[in-house]
Formats: sequence, structure tokens, C-alpha cells
Amino acid sequence: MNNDLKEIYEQHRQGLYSLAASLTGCTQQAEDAVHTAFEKLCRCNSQSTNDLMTYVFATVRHSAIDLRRRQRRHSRFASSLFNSHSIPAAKPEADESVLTSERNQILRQAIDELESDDREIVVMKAFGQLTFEAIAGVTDRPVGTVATRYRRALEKLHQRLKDKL
Amino acid sequence: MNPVEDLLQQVSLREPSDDLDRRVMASLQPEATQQLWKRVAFWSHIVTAAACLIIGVVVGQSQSSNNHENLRPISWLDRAPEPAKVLVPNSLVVPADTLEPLNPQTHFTEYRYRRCVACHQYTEPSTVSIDSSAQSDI
Repeated sequence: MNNDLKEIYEQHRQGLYSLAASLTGCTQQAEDAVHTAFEKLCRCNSQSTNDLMTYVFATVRHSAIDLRRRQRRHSRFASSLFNSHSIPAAKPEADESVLTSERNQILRQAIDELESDDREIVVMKAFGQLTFEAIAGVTDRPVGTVATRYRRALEKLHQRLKDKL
Repeated sequence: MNPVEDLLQQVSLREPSDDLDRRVMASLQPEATQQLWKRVAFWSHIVTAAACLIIGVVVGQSQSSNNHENLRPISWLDRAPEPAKVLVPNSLVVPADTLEPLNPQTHFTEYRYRRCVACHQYTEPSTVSIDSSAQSDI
């Protein structure tokens, strides 16, 4: 099973990390969440799962939520930390236009400002390349709800970009 | 594709650090070590069980041989204390096959219990009956 986990990590490390980052709001905690999740997965490697990838995403999500809860319990500054670090910042290329850079900045802020539930769906769909069925498995919600939330989140992002640009 | 989705694809994300890769890989790596430990634990159980079995057999055999030795009549008789000698008045008639006269005195005779020819054991003193009715005149 560890080989399967290794393969999934290599394929989805970006998506897993982005999901954890979107939930914890801190890059360090996101890494801790991913690491903790894989440690858990290795410990209970006897568990049989039909869809290992969904299971891995769900475990990372739970680890990130746990870390976020713990952080909130120990610190009152968790939310502000979340706002400042939510989605990793893009590194502007040398030839990237100012407009593109600004648009990306607005987009990141708009993603930050999404509701937590919507944001994780956007992150998993857009950055993790998961299907609605897989996201539904990870978040334990009906597929229809996931799809609706995703479309609604895209509309919000679209509206935000239209307003700003 | 939705234009926003298209834009989302263009947003470059921060990569997870090499440190995370190392940590995750280290978590995934110990499978070999875990397997090794499982194998060591398995064989240690086997070795322990075998050792217990051998010790049990040796001890059992030793006890068995001791018991066997104890059951040997000659050895037991060799080590068994001599049965009490009895002093019987000469007026009584004693069973000659059970009691062996040792030291005849004027009025009493000292007897020793004889060994059984078949089983090499001494006759139980309680089973020896001395006929007191057949008194001889002193």
C-alpha cells in the first residue's frame, strides 16, 4: 500500500498541499497536516479502501481541520494568519504583465474570501484535479451539493474579477 | 471551460517544500523496517516457543527419569529405611514367612519383617497377625 501512497503523493502533492493550505491558512501547518495525514495512512495500512486517492485527500483534509481547530484553541490570531497566507502567492514571471499579476492577486484574494466549504471544493477541483464524485467522497457531501457549491463559487469569483478589473 | 476555471489553471501555486517531500517519503519508507521488525518478532516468537519446548522436554524427561527411578523397587528398597523390628513374646506364635527371628531372648524374641519374594517389599506391620490364642507355656 505504501507504494500506492507514494504514487498518489507524487501525483497530487500540489493538490494535497493546496487543500491543507486553504484549510489551515498557514504554509507550515499545511505541510504538517500533509505529513501527519501520511503518517496516519502508513500506520493503518491494513485498511482497505476502494478509492485510495479520495481516502488520502479526506485524511489530509481531516488533519488540516484538526490542526486549524488546535491552532484556534491556542491562538487568537489564527484567522488573521489565515487571511495573510491562505493561498500561496504566485511568483510573477519576468515577462508577466502587470495586469495578469494584478488579476491573479485579485483572484487569490477572492478565493481567500470564499466560504471555507466553497474554497476547499474549488481548491480540490481546480488545483487537485479531483472529480465531483471524488470531492463528494472527501467532504462527505452529495455530488449535487458539491457541484452546486463549485458553480456558485465560480460565479462569485467571476463577479469579483468583473468588479475589480 | 468556464473563464474563471481557465484563470484558476493559470494561477501558479507555491510548491510544497522539499522538506515536506522528505518527511512524507520518510513516513512511507519505514515499510521495509516495519516488515523487518515483523519478521524479527515472528522469529523471536518461534525461537522462544522452541526454547520453551526444549526446556519443557528436558525438565519433563529429567522428572520422568527421577520418577522412574523412584518406582524401581530395588532402588527404593535400597534407600528405604529398615522397617521397625518387633519384640514378640516367646509365648506368641508368629508367621514365619513374615517375620524373621533375629535375637532370641529368654522371654522375648526380636523379629524383623521379611521382604516379599514377589514384590521385594516389606510386609506392612499392620497386616501381620500374630496368633495370640496359641500361647505356649512360659
